[in-house]
Amino acid sequence: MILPLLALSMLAAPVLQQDQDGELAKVLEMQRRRTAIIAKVEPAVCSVMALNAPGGGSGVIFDPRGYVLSNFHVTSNNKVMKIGLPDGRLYMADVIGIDPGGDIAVLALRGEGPLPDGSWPNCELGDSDKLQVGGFCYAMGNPFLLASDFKPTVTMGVVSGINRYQKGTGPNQRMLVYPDCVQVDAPVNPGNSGGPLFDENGLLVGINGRITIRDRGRVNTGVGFAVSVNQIRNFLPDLLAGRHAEHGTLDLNVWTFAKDQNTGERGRFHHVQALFEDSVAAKAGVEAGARVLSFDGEKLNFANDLARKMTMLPAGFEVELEFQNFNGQTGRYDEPVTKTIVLYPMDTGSVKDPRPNVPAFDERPDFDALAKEMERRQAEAKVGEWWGELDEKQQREWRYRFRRLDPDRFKAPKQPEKKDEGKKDDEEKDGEEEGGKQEEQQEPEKVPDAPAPDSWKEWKDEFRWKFDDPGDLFRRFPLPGLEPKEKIDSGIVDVERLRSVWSYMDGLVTDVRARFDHRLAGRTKGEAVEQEVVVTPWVNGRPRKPRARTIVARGQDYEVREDGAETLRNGTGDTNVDTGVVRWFEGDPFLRPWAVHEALADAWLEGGIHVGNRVGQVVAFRGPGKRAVYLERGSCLPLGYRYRDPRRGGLVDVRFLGFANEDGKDRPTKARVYLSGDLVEELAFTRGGPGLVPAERVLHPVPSDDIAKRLAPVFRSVVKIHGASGLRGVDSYQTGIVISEKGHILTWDHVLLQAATVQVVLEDGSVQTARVVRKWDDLGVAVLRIDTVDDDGKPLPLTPIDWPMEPRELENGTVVYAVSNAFRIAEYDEKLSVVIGVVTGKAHSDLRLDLRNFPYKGEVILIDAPTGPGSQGGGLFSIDGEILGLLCPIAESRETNSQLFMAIPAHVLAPIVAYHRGDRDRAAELNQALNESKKKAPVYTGIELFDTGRRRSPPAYVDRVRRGSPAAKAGLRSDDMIVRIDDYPIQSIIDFKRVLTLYGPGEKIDITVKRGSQVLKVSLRLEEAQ
Amino acid sequence: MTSPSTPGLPGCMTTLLAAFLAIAVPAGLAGQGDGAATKDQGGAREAAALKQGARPELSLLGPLIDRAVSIVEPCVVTVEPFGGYEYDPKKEEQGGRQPRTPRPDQLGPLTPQQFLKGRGASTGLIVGADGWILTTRFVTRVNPTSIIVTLSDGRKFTAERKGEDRSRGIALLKIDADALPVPEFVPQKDVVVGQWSFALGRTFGARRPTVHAGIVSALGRIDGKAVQTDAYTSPVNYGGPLIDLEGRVLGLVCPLSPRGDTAGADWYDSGIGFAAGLADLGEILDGLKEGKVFKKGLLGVAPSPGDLGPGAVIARTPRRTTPAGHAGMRKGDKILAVDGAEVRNPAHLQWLIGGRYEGDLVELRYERKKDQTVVEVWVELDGRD
Repeated sequence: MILPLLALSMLAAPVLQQDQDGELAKVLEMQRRRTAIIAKVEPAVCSVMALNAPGGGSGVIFDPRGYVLSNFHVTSNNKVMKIGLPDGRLYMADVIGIDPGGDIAVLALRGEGPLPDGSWPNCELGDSDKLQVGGFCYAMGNPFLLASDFKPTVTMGVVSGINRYQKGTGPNQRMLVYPDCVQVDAPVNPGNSGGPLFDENGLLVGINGRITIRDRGRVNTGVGFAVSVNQIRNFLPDLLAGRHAEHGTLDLNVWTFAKDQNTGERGRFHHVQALFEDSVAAKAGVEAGARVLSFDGEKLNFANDLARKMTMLPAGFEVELEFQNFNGQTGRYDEPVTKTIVLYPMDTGSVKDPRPNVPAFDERPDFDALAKEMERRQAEAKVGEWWGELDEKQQREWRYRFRRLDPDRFKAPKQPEKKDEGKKDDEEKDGEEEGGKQEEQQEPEKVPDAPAPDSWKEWKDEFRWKFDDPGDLFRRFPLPGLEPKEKIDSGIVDVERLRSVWSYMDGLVTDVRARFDHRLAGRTKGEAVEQEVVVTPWVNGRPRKPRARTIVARGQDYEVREDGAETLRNGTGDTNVDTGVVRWFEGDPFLRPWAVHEALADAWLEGGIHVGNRVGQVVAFRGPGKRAVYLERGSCLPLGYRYRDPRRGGLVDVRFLGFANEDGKDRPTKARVYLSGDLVEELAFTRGGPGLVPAERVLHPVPSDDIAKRLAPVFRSVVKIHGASGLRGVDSYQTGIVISEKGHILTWDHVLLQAATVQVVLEDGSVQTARVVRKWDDLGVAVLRIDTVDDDGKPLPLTPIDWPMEPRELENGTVVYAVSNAFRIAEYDEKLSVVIGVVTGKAHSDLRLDLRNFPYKGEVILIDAPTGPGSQGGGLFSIDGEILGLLCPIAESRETNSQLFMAIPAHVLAPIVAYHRGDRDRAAELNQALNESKKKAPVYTGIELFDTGRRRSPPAYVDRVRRGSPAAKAGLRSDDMIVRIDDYPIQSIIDFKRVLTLYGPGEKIDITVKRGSQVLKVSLRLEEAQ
Repeated sequence: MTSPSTPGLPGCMTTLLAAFLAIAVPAGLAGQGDGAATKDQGGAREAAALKQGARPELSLLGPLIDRAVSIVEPCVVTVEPFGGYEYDPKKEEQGGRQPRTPRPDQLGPLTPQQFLKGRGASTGLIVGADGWILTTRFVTRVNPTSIIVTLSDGRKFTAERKGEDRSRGIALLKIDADALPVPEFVPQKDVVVGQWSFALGRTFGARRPTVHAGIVSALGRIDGKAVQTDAYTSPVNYGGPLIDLEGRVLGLVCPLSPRGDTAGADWYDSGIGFAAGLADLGEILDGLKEGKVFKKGLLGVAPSPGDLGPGAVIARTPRRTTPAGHAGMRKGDKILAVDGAEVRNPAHLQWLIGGRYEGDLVELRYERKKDQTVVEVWVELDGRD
């Protein structure tokens, strides 16, 4: 596009200078934009470390309230981690939710944030499905934990692939699954785990968690995988609620076949191969052998799609499965049916006690609330049964724990002298904590069980509506326009009726199992709705006596009744407790979520579980409509809710932006509606009424460049090649490029091609058998051929690449893309991996490949785009999509002893392309050229080197020069050290001998020698060895 | 070549404009227009159409990199070590005996096995017009018997080894030449995280330096002495300059790692690369010219690991022989400040001390818990390789 400009500039040098300055200014402006984006998100990137153990990873704060996303394999089962922020300080954070199946953990930072308003620096969530392959992205984190000041490392690269499915580890490979990950070539290294992946606009699109390593030990090879933020979003409510997030499964095994397994019909079919009799799919009517047609309204291309889409969703979500059972009697398929199925939790089989967020008691910081509450309840002796339930020893233990946590309040009465010291500490630490100090002074430890009335009053004023009087809570949060009898159809909710948001929350509280297990049952008695909530509190990971509550709702009011545990007569008892399986309850849509919440909070406290500042923090409500409600930490203020809207075709997130206090009532004033992470609407509540007014439509900025479009034809021409190498440790996959209409495919000649046939996978995932047509040994490449039509005679999606016949001058620094199936990451119809780099340089290929000489002897293009096993045969493309070269396997340079990424220039291979396209003249030309470079006769120089006879090879010192030899004529002397032959560096005697084999008799070479402190260059003409 | 989105303007102008707009206005017009034009057409035509809408930053970048390289290119030289400690690459490849970690009394030059394949050509950068060339310890580590420097014009010289800064992993060479070009250096404070950075090397006997592109990943690494880049660094460009778009030098590409400079080369081509800051060398360069060896500062204390700060509490009473022990510091003392700079946490203490050199005097302020006194002492630091 800038060619005309450049062409003009060639004529007049000053113009060129000017243009380049203009371009420089433009690129600098873009650079400035990028540095600004990085500077904006940098403060949110943190290092996550275990408290007293070495090692750690990275994380990112995604919420101003101090919530951190990281990998599960970073936190593992730790309950508390320390977090280093780029301000150079360390903070403590609790692990509040884990997702071992998806390798995600959520942590909550303790205390106030470093920003002036007490919040934490944070980043915004983006949309990973909007990413473009080939578009820039930034990985941030603390690789190798090398940032002692916790300033993150920023690495840039491009998105190599999206929606990748990477299977998990552990039993059944169900732990740490990456069902929907973003593949990047931005360098991601150990220690980057848990760190953020940002798109070009600085929006969080993933959590870096996995890399592919090979040969090089634990460093990056150009392949990093990030858990997509769209997947994480599905689990956030669970994770924030302190749950052990579970991935959904249909519990069936689906394979893709090229032939119908029942009728033999040709095509691509997905058959249910196995399923459990009691699985959710079987209950919905799926039979073994059935064809699966679509999942959630989307047609399946491969069975992998099903696994990916299913695993991305949390257990309990409803999905639609379209399938066709086979009727064996008629020999025909039944009519396709679509069934709604609730996903079953996938058993990761990984963690024995998946409760990271039942805090160990000596690690909890904020025990004020609970301690006071406990004392109060004991003093009032109203509801404090749990205390009475404890035996003396347990009571002592508890007292001890609280004392440890809060020595000021639970001081041993017999040691008054310590009080002063403690108080002093307190003053030093926090002079503003008026209430605490006051209490300290007024109520000495004489009566440790009874709190100060004043402080309790204060506390009560603040928290009363939470625990004491549900009615008060209701008054605080009025239900605008609620019609109690109205039934909401499950699944379909109209956002514009946000005014009746409360009535949407018909879902029943599911398990918040880290805390307690419970079950609910509902029945309607006339006007009133009665709901039983049974809570099994967990103390230190062990279940305690279940408690039951009945919630009776009548119109706007409800009450929570305490009942005996015997009212629990529903379901199968305590199975939840042991299996960790979440059951989903059919609930009554009139149930007030607040009521459930109340009941839970109440039982929570009674159960003796400390809740600290997390009472009412976040509770996931789920039900037929699959809604989850976010609640503010430390209050019951709803932050928003989420549900799945089939009509909109995705997950709808409603987030409240602001609340206004009107007549002592908090009402939401503004809300944002996100559809699958995309901001689609802003809603405003009109004052005094519940109606919603859609605000201006806002779109997230998406990367604008058309890189995906430019790469589209490339994907049609570059194919995956699979075979059997027959050798252990040798890869059985590589890449190839379609070069002719007749189905010729150019690729690297690898062990793989020793077999008669190999499999070629085309862009749409169809597999064709290819045979080797010809190998060009001197270039190290081979040509395969496949049929251009399939079995039914339909043409296959093959587009031969537009191959340049003339050499193209490539400046160092030219930006290039390498497209290949490195590491066999792309399977079936997944797109090939794209990595970006620049032309590093050109080099004569004095290279080593697997301890052999590199077959191609000419000049190669060196690139810094990371290639890997399987890349060989892939294409090197310019940013315009023009082919520049054929990717080679990674070879080692003899000069630097390091591995190099490189490609054979396209023009070198042009004759091969011409030949297979039918241009025989070019072929003849090629043969002639190749014959010239055949093996050369041994040469004679007359140089004898000083060899100590040891195996290790010393530098090439000349020992003796034979009289009358070419070396003598050139003036070489003994004790000269040979440094170079032409451009080949001579490090040792071995190098000297090897390099000479590249030349034939009669050729002239330049030898550079070091003589004393002089460096000289001499020329000599080689003779034939006798 | 008219752009489909805004017909009417001269071709090249339009496309440039469209390309530029495309960045400024996300989800821009250019995309829609292109879509309409190329819909349902063959691959070849599509490819042709694609050439028009090349990614703006990238298409501009190539020539600019080339220009930046041209500015620095005369200062980039090839440095080839010959001889020195030998090692057997075959044995190493076959997983031969692993080198033992040297005991403290064996410090000094490490065996070549410990120094991953540190052989072969490397790169250097001219820092003084009268023949001063900076390269890395990657070259000098094996104690080569001779070093040959090749300038950009092809002239070859034997080089003499001068001083080393082991904390930065750099070594100074002297050749017998003058009137050499010297590049422009950028102080670290003017470097911004995220800006383009290019690592140049001069190996493979190439006429032009090799270029590896990336961005600046972080500043103040290696105790504040190096810039970090995600450009691939490897023996191909160790010793070469890391430059910005305008051809100024941000640092010298070094196989550095906080674990000691042997491990640095393990991370080659990993996207974790370091460039030792040169603009802030100052007096160090004079010292190097005199042949001095600079080592990283060492205080000799072990802070408690779980300590969140502020300050750093000493976990074990330091040995008498260490600077801290000499100054009378004991277990439980909390170091509050180094030269007036508040110590945030143990890692920060290491950062502060590691930024200094052996023999430097620093003022420490620490609190003794027992008697609640704050002590200020001057300590002379030990050195560490």
